[in-house]
Amino acid sequence: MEEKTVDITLYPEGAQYLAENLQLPVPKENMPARVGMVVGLIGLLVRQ
Amino acid sequence: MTNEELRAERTRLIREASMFQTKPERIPHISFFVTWKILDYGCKLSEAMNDYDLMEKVCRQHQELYNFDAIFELGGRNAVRIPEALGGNTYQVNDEAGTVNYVDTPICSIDELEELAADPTKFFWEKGMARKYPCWADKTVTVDRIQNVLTEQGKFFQYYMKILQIMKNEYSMPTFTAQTNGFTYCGLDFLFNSILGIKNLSIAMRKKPEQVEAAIAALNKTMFDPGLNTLLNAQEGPDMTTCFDYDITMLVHTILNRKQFERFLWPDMGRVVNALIEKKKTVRMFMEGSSRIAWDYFQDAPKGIITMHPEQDDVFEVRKALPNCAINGGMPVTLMGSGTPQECVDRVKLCCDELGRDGGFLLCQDKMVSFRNDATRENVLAISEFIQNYRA
Repeated sequence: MEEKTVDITLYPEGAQYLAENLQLPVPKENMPARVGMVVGLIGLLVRQ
Repeated sequence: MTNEELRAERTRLIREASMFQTKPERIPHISFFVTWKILDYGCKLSEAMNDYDLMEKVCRQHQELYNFDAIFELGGRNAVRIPEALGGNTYQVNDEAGTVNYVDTPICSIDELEELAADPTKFFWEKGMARKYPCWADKTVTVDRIQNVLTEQGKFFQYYMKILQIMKNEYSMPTFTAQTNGFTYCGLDFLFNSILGIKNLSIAMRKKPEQVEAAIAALNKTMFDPGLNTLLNAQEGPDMTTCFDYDITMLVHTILNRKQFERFLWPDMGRVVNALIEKKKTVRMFMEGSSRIAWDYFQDAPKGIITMHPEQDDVFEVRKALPNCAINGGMPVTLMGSGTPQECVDRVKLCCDELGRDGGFLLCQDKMVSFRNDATRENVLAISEFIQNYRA
C-alpha cells in the first residue's frame, strides 16, 4: 500500500485517494466506477 | 421427485397461495427464523456469525429438521464482520443472553439536517463515519484498514452466494425474492434507522418538517429513485421461478401518526406499491409492529399483489380488512415458545381452515424468530410435521 498522503476522512479527496489505492475489482482506467464503488462502501458502512 | 421438481412444486404452492390463483393442495410453510436457528444448532451466536462454515451447518440443519418450503433468512442478516473490520460496534452480541442488539446511534443532529440534505455523500463521509467508527473520528484510519473491510465484504458475499446455491441445489429451496426488480429504501426509513434515530426523527418531524422533507428528497436520489427506476423498467409480470417479486420491510411507520404517514412516508411507499401494481408483481409486505396505519392504502390493490406479513396485528382481522391481500403469518412466537405441541398444531389448523380455505394463506412465524425462548424445537417439529401433511 502507498503511504497515506491525504486525509482519507475528507470528501471528495478521501474518496479519490481510496479509489486510487485500494485493490478493487475495477481497472484503474475506470476511475469514476472505482470512486462510485468506494462511495458505495462508505454508504454501506455508515448504515451498518 | 427430482430436486428441480420439488423446487418447482414449492414455488408453485407459494405462488398459488400468495396470488390467490387456486386453492393450493397444501399450505406452504415459510421460515422466518433468524438467530434462533443458531441457538437451535447448539452454538453461540458469536461463533456462527464469525464463522461462515459454521453458519452453513446451521442453515443446513434448519432445513433438514423442519423441511420448510422457503427460508427467508440464511445467515446474512447480521453481517457483523464487515463493520467490525473497521472497529464498528453497532452490533452487540450477547452470547449469555443469546441476543443481538443494534445500537441506535444517531449520526446526524436535528440542527444538521440542512447540511445532510445539501450533500448526503459528503455528510456521511465526513460526519456520519466519524460518529460510527473511532478510527475515522481520530483520523487513524488507513487504506489497509479499508482494504480489510473489502476483504470481509467479499467473504460475506462469497458465503451468501454459496448458501443460496446449496439451498437451491441440495435442498430444493426456491429463491425467496426475485433479484431483478431492484430495491428501494424510503428516505424516511433511512432517516429513522440509520441517521437521526428514533428520538431525533420524532422531534424533527414536528419542529422542522420542511427540513425532513428536504432530507428525504436528497436521500432518495441515491437510495430510492434508482431502485424505483429498476422496478419501473423491469419486465411486466411476475417471475414465477421465485416466491415473491419484491420485498418491503418497514419499521419507521411504528412512530408515525396518520398525518405524518401521509406526509413523509406514503408519497414514496405509494410510488413503490403503484409500480408493483402497474408491473403486476407480487410483494411480501412486512411492516413491523402494527401495519394498521397503511390498511386504507392497500384496500384498492388488485387481489394477489400484496402479501401481508403481520407482526403484531391479528391475522383474522387483517383478512377481514384486506380480503384482497394474501397473508404470510399466523404462527405467534409466544405460542411456539411457551405453548404445547398440541396447542401449536391447533393454531396451525385454525389458520389453515379459516385463512387458507380459498387460498391466500402461507404459514409463517409472526416475528423474526430471534431469541431462545421464541420457540422450542419440539413445537417447531410438531408444526412442520402437521403442515406438511394437512389438507384443509
